[in-house]
Amino acid sequence: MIVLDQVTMQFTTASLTNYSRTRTVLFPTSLAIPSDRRIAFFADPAEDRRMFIDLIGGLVLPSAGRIVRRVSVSFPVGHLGSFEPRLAVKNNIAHLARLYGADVQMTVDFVESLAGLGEAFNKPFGMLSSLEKKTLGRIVAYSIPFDLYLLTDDAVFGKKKLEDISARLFEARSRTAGMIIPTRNMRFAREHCDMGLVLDHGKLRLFDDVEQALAVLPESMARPVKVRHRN
Amino acid sequence: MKRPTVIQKIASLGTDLRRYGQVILALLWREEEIRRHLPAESLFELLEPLLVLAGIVLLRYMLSREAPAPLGVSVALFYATGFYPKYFFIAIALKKMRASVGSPRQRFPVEQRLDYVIVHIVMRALDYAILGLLVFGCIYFFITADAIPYNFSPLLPALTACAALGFGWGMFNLVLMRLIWFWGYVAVGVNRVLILISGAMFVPDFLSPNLRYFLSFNPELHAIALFRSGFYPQYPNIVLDTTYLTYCAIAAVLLGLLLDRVTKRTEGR
Repeated sequence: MIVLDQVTMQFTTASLTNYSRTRTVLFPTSLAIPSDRRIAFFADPAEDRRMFIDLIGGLVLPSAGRIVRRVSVSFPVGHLGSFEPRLAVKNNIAHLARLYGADVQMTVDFVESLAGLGEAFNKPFGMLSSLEKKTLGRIVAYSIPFDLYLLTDDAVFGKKKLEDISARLFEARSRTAGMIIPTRNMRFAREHCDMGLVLDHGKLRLFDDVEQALAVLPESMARPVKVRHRN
Repeated sequence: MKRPTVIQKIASLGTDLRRYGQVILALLWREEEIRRHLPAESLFELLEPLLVLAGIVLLRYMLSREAPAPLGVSVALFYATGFYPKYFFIAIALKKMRASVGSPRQRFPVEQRLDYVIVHIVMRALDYAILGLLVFGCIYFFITADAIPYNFSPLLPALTACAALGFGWGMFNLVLMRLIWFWGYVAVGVNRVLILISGAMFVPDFLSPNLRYFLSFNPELHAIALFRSGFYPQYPNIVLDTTYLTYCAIAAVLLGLLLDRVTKRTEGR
C-alpha cells in the first residue's frame, strides 16, 4: 500500500518569453493506494501524468507532505536512470541489480534473453541506438521483483516486436504484483485494469471500478485529443 | 496517518542501514568498474596538481636557485606539503562534485544526491592516497629523505578536515549554483583566491601579525599547517589552532547536510 499524507505537488516554470508561473499538479491529498491491483490512471496533460508517476516512484519529491511506501515500488518502466554511457550494458544491469539487492546473474540473464541485443549487450550503453535503449528501458524495470510497478505512457504500446515483449512481461508481472498504468486508451483500461485513479485539475480520486472512473472523466480526457497546429 | 513509533523506527533501522550500504557499495563498485575500463581518465585528473607543483618548483629554481626554501631543505617538499591538502580540498569541492551528482531524473529512486557525494569523496580520497604515495615517494627517492613524515598522527586529521571543509563548501556551491546563475563563475574566482591565501606557498607564521590575524580566519590555512607539522619537526605553530579547525570542519559538515536536507524537495525543479 502507498499512503499519500497531505501530498502537494507544484512547480514553477521559468521561461524566457513568459513570466514564470507556479503550476499545481496535485492539491493537498491524503489517500491510500492499494498495491496489489491494476490501476488505470487518467490525467491530463501528459506532463502531469508523468509527474505523478515520478512522484509515486520517488524520482521527484513532493512540494509538501510525504509518501509512505509500505511495499517495494519500481521506478517507472522505461526509465533508465543512472545508466552509465561509458560502461557496457551488461555492467549497467549488474549495477542496477546490486542497487536493489537482486540476484546479479539472474537479472543479467533475464534482460539478455529478452532484449535480444546480441553483440550490443557487451557494448557501452552510450553506443546503443534509441530503439535499443527503448527496448532495454521496457525490460529493465521488470527484471527486478517489485510489489508495485509504475508504467509510463509508452510502456505498453509501440512497435510490433516491442509490443509483444512488453505485453508478455506486463501480463506475467501483473499476476504477482500491482500496477499503476497511465493510459488514455479506454478499451485497454476496461480490459486490463480493475481500479481507476483520476487526477483532474489537481484533485486525485480513486475508484474501485474502472467504469466509475470512466464515468467521471472530464470531456477532454474521455476523447482522443486532436492536435491542432497554429499557423 | 499514524506516524511510526520510536520502537518501530529502531526495529527498521537494521534493514534501512543494510539497504543504504547496498546502494553505496553498488555505486562504489560501478566507479571501480569505470576506472578499470578507462584508467586514463582517473590518471589525467591527477595531472593538474602534479603539473602545478612541478611548474611552481621549476619556476622557483629558475628565479632564484640560491634562495633557500621557506622551510626545511627542499623547495619541492615545501610546496608539495602545501599543495597536496589544498588540491585534495579542491578535488572534493569543485566542479567534479557537481558533475558527479546530476539531476534526480537521471538517477534511480534509491540513489540520493548525498550518496553520490559520499562516493565522490571516497573516490577522491583513494585517488589522493595514490597521488600522495607517488609525490612524496618521488621526492623521497630523488630529492630529500625528509619526505617521509616524522610524525604520521597529524596527517589524517588534517586531510579529514580538508575533506569535511570540501564537503561543506562543495554543497554550498552546488546549492547556490542552482539559485544564482552566475555563482559558478564567482565560485571559481573565490577558489583561486583561496589557493593564494591558504598558506600553500608560504608559512603564515612568518608574516606580519596583522596579516596573520586576518588570514587565520581561513580554516584551510590551519589544515595545511597541521599537515605540514607532520613533516617538519620545527614547524612554527603560532597560527595553528586545531580547535578552530575542528569546529569549522564540524560546522562545514553540518552545513552541507543541512543544505542537502533543505533543498532536497526542490532539487530537480
